[in-house]
Amino acid sequence: MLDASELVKRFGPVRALDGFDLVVSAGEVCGLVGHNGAGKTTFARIACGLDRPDSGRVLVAGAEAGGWAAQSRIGWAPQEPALYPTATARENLRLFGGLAGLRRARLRTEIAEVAAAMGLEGLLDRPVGHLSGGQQRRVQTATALLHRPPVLLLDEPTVGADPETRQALLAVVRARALEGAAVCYTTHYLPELIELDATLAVVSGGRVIARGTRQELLTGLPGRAVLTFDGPAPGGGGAEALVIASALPAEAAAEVLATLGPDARRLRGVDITQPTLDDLYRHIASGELDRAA
Amino acid sequence: MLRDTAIVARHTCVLLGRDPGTLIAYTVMSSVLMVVLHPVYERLAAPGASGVLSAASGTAVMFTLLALDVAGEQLLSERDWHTWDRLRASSVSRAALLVGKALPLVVVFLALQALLYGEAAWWFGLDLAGGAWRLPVLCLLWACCVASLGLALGAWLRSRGRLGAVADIGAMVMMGLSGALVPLGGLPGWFTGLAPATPGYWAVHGVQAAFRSGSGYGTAVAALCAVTLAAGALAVVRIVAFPGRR
Repeated sequence: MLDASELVKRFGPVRALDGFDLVVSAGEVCGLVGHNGAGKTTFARIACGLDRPDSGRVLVAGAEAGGWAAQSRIGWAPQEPALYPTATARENLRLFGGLAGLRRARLRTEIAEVAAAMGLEGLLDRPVGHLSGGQQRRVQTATALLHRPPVLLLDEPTVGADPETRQALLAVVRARALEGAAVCYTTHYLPELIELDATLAVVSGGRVIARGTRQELLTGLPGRAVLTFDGPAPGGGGAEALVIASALPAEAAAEVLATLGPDARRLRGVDITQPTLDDLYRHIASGELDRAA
Repeated sequence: MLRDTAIVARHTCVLLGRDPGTLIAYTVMSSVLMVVLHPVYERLAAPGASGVLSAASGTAVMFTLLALDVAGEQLLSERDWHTWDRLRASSVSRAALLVGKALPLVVVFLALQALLYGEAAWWFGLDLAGGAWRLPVLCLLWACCVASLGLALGAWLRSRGRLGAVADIGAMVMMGLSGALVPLGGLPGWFTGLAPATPGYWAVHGVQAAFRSGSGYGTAVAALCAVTLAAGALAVVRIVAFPGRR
């Protein structure tokens, strides 16, 4: 549904994209993660037809990015607020929905539906400039969803959003993916990707350096078992906690517990932590840094 | 294309309607100023010429020129609000965007001129029938010309400060040189040579020609068309050739 291959984009001496490959299928939510400047926004701008790649191509639902067909098949909510502050939320939605090809009755219906889904009903007739940051964020995401595009590009849609707003946004994104949309979801809040059951694409240095499901990418990453003692932990170098890093942290903890002997009476707690997306990201990023060094 | 243009035009009307202060101020000021300046224009008018017509055409050209920055704002605000990229990312064509932005401005500038000529007719007895079809055509062309110039400024300038400076200074220079502020007959002779270099001159000259049954009217129409197209082309070049520069 969204297919980017071998994208290269330079801004002067900087290679913002350097062989960027990504395929997102219909019904899939792909979490695009990476540090600032990794190339996520540049990719989004090329997919939306705002910038042209120096080489490579992006297909949006089968159409070359930048053309009329591709632009009518994509819904984009950029990172920064991009709404008319003096116009009401309804007027903003009407403009972007109208330009996406929605006619009168259908436009009204879609506005009502997306407003209900995102808790905007009471805000529709207020100027956007009078809304809070989180409310504006909801309106902005709604403008991308209105015409039910087959491809959605949501660039950090929950930044500055309160928990209620975040939940509403995530619910709508999940629903759109279930309807068959390919969703490319950029975020720094990794737990959101678990809630969305998203696949992951880790971006660094202008390319996707890891791609797969969460389970695939986490396999082999060390988890942690932390054993806390009254007084110094055996073999802990004077510290009260013994930290064991292992791909199978529970088994590793059981092995250590079996060898504790009299020290077992000083044991105060055992905490097992499975590897998280944060660990994955740190692991990949440090690997990249090591290679760069 | 037509449908997209209509959508953009309607939205531009909404935006203009939400911030009408400048346009209302220009309308009221122009209306009052014409009454105040009318005796001056009568005194400076050449024998046989209409002082009322000079006052009406001068004031109309002056205040539409002052509204150049209102036109420029329509594009500049899009970049300030980051909405320009949203519009570009939609499937609407650049031409539909520009025309949709320009149409409401043309209507506003046309309405401003209609109000002033109506006031001149009602208050000072200007015989609008003397201008026949030529007056509305000339007013329409002038409205297109100012909208086009304003959009070109909005497309090329990158900040409100620059837009304000260029639009205000440009408008003042054009008003002075065109004879809109003070009739050319009351100014130093070297002004007369420079006046045709400004579109305002052709607007004032064209309106007066419209009432003189056409002498010089065609030249004024051609000059205004040329400036409108040149300014429109400048705006298009900026938007199409350098769309991503902010």
